[in-house]
Amino acid sequence: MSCKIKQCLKYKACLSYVYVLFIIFFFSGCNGYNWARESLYYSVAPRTIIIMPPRNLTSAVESGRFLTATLVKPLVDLGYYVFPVEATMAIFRQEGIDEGMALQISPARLCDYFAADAALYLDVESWDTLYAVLASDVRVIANYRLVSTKTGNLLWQNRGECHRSSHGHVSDNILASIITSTINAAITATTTQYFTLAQEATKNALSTLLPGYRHPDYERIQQEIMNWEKKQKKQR
Amino acid sequence: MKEYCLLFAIVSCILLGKGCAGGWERYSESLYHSMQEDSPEARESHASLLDKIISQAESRGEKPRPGLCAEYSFYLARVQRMDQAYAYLEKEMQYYPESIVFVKILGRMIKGEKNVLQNQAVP
Repeated sequence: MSCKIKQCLKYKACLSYVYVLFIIFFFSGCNGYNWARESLYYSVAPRTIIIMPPRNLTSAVESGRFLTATLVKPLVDLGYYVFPVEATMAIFRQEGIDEGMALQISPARLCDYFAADAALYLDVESWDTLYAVLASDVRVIANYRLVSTKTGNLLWQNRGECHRSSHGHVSDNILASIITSTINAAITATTTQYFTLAQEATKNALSTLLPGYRHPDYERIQQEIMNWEKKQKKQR
Repeated sequence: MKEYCLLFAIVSCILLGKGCAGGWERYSESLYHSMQEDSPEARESHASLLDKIISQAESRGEKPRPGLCAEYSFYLARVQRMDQAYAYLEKEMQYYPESIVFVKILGRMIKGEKNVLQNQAVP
């Protein structure tokens, strides 16, 4: 009997050991860093970023310009120096450079003009409201790209997306359901602030961008990259 | 009584913290509305927020966030407050030397100069 109890205890101890190992492996895999990628990114180490006029692929003419308004704060909070958007666009305008022409300027030339280390390009893919019979869906979707002005290489890119829907619901009283759903759809379409969606889309996209040189984590990450590179050299 | 004092202290800290972060937290929305409305009032409102954020940082002995003095200078120049505009450009260069090239271009632009991009032909 006591032997069985001992076996049971051993089994439980083994099981908890496996749990602990699982948790350690799980969290070590989830630290969010890929040192090979980080090392490559920080070999360029952009400090100053110029936000370029956005390429608007939607029918909402001003959407791209509005989306740029949501970029400055999160980039500054990530530790980058960002040239003021409105002032940058005004400089282009005064020089007779429209949005299309600005996007034709080579990254190297942007470095010459502004001493910017990187240029952020923005493609606005969706900025609209889709109406179904009893529902509406307000969407903001954009693609964000950071390009080195020194090498012309793509440093980072991500897609940001956010949408808000009203859903039709069906009850026993079909007429009441139709009226309620139609009102909900109209309210969602008219009261949803594009700013909130744009801000959320930008936040989602920038969640994968590595911190810049003014971020509190910057030094620690640099140290960890150095350690990783030393290990790589030893392994070779 | 002690509990009330503690509660009061916690609430005060939260409110103080919110007050300090408030200006910067509203930055994106303020800029967005300034662009969207595109009126002198909306720009004035955004410029007031920039002034507030910069003053708050300086009163704490800290540098204002990167780019804000240059941006504020741009709005000051739009309403012809040129002396102040140049003063804020100087501040930006002092706080953030990496901005010097950009700030000099901005300075020449607000003076009304042409070919501020170093007279280079755009490709």
